[in-house]
Amino acid sequence: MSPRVGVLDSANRLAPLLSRRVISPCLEAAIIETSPLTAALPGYRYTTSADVIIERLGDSLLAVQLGTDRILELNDTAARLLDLLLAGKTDVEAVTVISAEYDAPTEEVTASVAATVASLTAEKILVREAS
Amino acid sequence: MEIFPVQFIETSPPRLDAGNPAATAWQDARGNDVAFATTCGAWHWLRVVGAGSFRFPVTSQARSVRAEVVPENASTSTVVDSYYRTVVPIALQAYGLETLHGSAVNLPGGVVALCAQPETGKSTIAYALRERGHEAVADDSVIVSLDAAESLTSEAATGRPLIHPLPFALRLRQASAKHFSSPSKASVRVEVGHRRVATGLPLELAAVVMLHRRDGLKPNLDEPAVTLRRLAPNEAFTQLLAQSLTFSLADKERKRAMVRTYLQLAAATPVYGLSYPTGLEHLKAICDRLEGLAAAPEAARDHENPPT
Repeated sequence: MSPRVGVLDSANRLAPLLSRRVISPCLEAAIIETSPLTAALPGYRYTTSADVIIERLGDSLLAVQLGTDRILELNDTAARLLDLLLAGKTDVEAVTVISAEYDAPTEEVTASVAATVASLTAEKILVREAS
Repeated sequence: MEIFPVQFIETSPPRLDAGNPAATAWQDARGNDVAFATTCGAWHWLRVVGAGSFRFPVTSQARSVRAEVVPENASTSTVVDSYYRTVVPIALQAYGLETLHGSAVNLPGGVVALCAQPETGKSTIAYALRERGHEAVADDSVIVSLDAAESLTSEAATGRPLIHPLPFALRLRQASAKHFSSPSKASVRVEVGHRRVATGLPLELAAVVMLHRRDGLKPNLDEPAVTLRRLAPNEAFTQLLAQSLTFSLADKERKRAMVRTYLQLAAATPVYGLSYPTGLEHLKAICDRLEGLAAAPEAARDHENPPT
């Protein structure tokens, strides 16, 4: 059967932008067992990549990476971390703030922050500022 | 914003088929290639398979669409129909407006866009609402903007997104056409003659409804067949994107602007999910639900869960 003329039932859509991943370091989760080296943070500052749009929609914080065409939805904790980093705090300083706000052990928060920063960097949402 | 009649020309278009890696291919619901797009120099090209290779300038003044076509072996009416139905919406998207795959109906509370995957019933529902006395304002493509400058009047501007009506013709698949005793899809064409067309006055977009037809599932007799729920903004955003049409994703700044528009749209416009079983017998309940939404949109917020 020949294609129907003039019909674009399924047109060019942003299908790649539908890849979503929720980054969810959960401070209430069991302690993540890591070596002291893994749990240490380098004290870097971060900024967003030029190809990123960050927007709060309702209760969610979305990060859209226009280069990779991925959308990430951050939970409240990851969103708070991102806020702190983009406000100029280092990763170490962010741990101090979050530990206090959530009344959570520093070791747990350090591990969660390290994992989240690593994820956001891998997704090209965050880039390390040149020292 | 004006749409000029398409001009028939004789020239050699660029290669626009599956053999050209530089051409973006568009498929229909069955995976058949139905169109190809590329940009060469000062022209965007969009070939609609079986109709012709259309070209329109990369830049436009006042978002006016002036296009030319190298026709394939098709009737003039088929080429013109393809122009208004397919090329014009995509050209307007390239020029900065956004285009949703859907139909739209002017209900008492404002225009409601009906978006869905192909063969879900967008046109059928729009047609049924028209039979109830409501004005259908779009089929296949809904042109959306957030430009305050294009609000109706400064006094009437509410900050809501606008839609821009284009020439269109509601087309029904065979079963629906038979149900309404209406011409079937193959014989319906957009016809505007040879005159220049101004897009209709912008209308305020009151809501977007994402249609979901449940095929083959046994109905749960304890739950209503037709359900409507308000989507959270983050869910609305990704569903709007899934129904967005775009000429190309290659221009990063255009893509950025598009994403920002849909983020704003998701934040500012109520987006609902309407779920219903297959079967024209449910059309009355669907239309009742949509008319009820238009009359009292807040009543639909979070009141129903979608069936599993």
